Amino acid sequence: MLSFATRGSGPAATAKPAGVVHPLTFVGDDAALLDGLRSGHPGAPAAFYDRYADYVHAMLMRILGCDPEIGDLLQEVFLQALKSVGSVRDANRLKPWVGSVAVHVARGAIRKRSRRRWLQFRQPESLPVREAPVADEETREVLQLTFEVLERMPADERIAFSLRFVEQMELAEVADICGVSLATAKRRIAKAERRFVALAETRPPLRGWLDQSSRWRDR
Amino acid sequence: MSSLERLGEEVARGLDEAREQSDAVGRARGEFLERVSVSRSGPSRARVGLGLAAAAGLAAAAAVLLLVILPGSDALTATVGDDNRIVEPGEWITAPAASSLPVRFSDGSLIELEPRSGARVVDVDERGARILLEKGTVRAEVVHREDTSWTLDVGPYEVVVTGTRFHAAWDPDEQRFSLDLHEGGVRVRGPMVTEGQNLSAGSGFRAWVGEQRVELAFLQSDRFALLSEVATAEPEVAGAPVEEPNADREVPAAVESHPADPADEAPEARRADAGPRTEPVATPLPEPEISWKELARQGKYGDAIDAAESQGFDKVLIGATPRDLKTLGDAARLSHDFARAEQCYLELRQRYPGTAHATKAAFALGRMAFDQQHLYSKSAKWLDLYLKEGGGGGLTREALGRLVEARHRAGDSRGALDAARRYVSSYPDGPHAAYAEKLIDAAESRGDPP
Repeated sequence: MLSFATRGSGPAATAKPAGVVHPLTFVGDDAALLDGLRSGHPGAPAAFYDRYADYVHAMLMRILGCDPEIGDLLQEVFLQALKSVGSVRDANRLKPWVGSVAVHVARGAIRKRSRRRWLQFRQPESLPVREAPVADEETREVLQLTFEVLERMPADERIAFSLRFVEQMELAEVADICGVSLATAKRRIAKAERRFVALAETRPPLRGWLDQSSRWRDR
Repeated sequence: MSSLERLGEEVARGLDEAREQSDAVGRARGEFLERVSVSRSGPSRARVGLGLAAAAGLAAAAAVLLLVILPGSDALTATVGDDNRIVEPGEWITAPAASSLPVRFSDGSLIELEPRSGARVVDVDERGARILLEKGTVRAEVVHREDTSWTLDVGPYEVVVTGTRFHAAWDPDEQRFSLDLHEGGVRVRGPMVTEGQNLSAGSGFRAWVGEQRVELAFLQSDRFALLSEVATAEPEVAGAPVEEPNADREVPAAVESHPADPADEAPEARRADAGPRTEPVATPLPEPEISWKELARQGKYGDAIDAAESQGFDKVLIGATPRDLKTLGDAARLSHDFARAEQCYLELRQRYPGTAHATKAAFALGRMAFDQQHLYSKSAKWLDLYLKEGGGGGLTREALGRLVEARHRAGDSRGALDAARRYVSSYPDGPHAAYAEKLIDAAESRGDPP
């Protein structure tokens, strides 16, 4: 008679009756996960991914929109994170640290595309922004136009803008995740605001959103 | 809130909707784990995997030195086929579709490639050989000596052999490895067994690299079940024996619990002797023709649950990713199978505590208790938990609004008032603002303490 046992970690692995195959799950908080990643626990990369993939996915989409390469970039974030996870000293900082890796990867992708466009003598607006699979037509249009504008902004300003206004992070969080001082983050966001509003002027639906407040007209 | 923040909120809402429809996280997961596995499988295998041509060239050069220039060397020689043609180290050897191909070594060891399998004898010396199985199944009989040193590289796994008889299989497309050990002992090293796993006679090892799953099998009788025959999954090869499933077979525990599942018949139904095999063997958890996932994606939630039930609901849960658990839970909820929905969501929370998945499951449980079960105390408990865990996913406002309503309907006036004040403070223009203000006004008119 054959009996089956599955190697796993944590209570889930031992609680199941013999004969049941189940995934190698890593059970533990971020401190345990950090230890597991450092020590090469076989289930740790999967647990790391499962714990933060949605967060990273959201972060990448906030910065890049509905990008066709988002899956590749998602992998890239986790591969880069695995390589340098030894530098994380405080497990409580794991999440923001993963976020900063995502920002780094997104910045690299934006710059790479800028270089590619430059080499091809193409204007940013000549590249179509991928339409988002969103039911509401107005929301879809807002997304389309917003990312058309963001495509024309420098990478650092675009990222600061996305984190502050789309992800709605506090200034200190933006500074932290971008790895800059609070003063730099403030300056960057202020420049990004001005640039975004100026570019949005040529896109009536976006201008309509901004016209709801007199703040920008008065500046 | 500034106009830019309002615009940003609208953009975030649209992106969240798009993200809910995206399968990028699931797709990238497998590829990421595969790349991790490959990078962890060590420099020797990486070298073989990434530079086979170079390895073959180097090995061929080494072979020339060993076999030709230094004829006095005691290095083993390898021959292939019935005509005993000498194998050049590094040479690609592939078995035909209809028959196996033996590779014989001068010490009496035999490596037999089963139909359609492909391998290379990467290196040979006086103590043994290093063989790379690139795809398919090999049957090995290695003669034991005191200083024997044989290594079989199978995908990202390394099997260190002393003297033994075994079957090993590798499916590069499915990233599936299996090894069934008939005699002797081997040590398997690779993803999920980075420290090495010793196997003794009568045991088997299976690994699904992409899924990060490993299975060990122990043989407790003199009969042995082949666990994987990827390379021979071709129907009816002329002249090859095909066994019928054994009617009085012994059944693994996993199978006993789900006798209706045809997938479970595979391991024990495909009994094998040491000889080559030809009939196909099902993978461990094959999905029905239209999977529950596809049905759920099509909005056929009841059918999706039926498909999962026919597959063995508990087994589906066991193999499910976090996203699968959420999707299956949503399908059950939307088809009004609240017990199954709760099972999925609770499994998600138990298996992935502290994650965004667990938090979303709390919201789903709260919403289900509110909308479908009308259990408002229970709903409030889950919604409160969702908010305490940080919310997220664009549902915080919705959760807080529902919490106001759930507590109010459950008769928790004080709790409802607290939630209402939080809501109005955070979302003065939100859809629950009027409801919350009404509660606050009523409390103030009663003279309730703030």
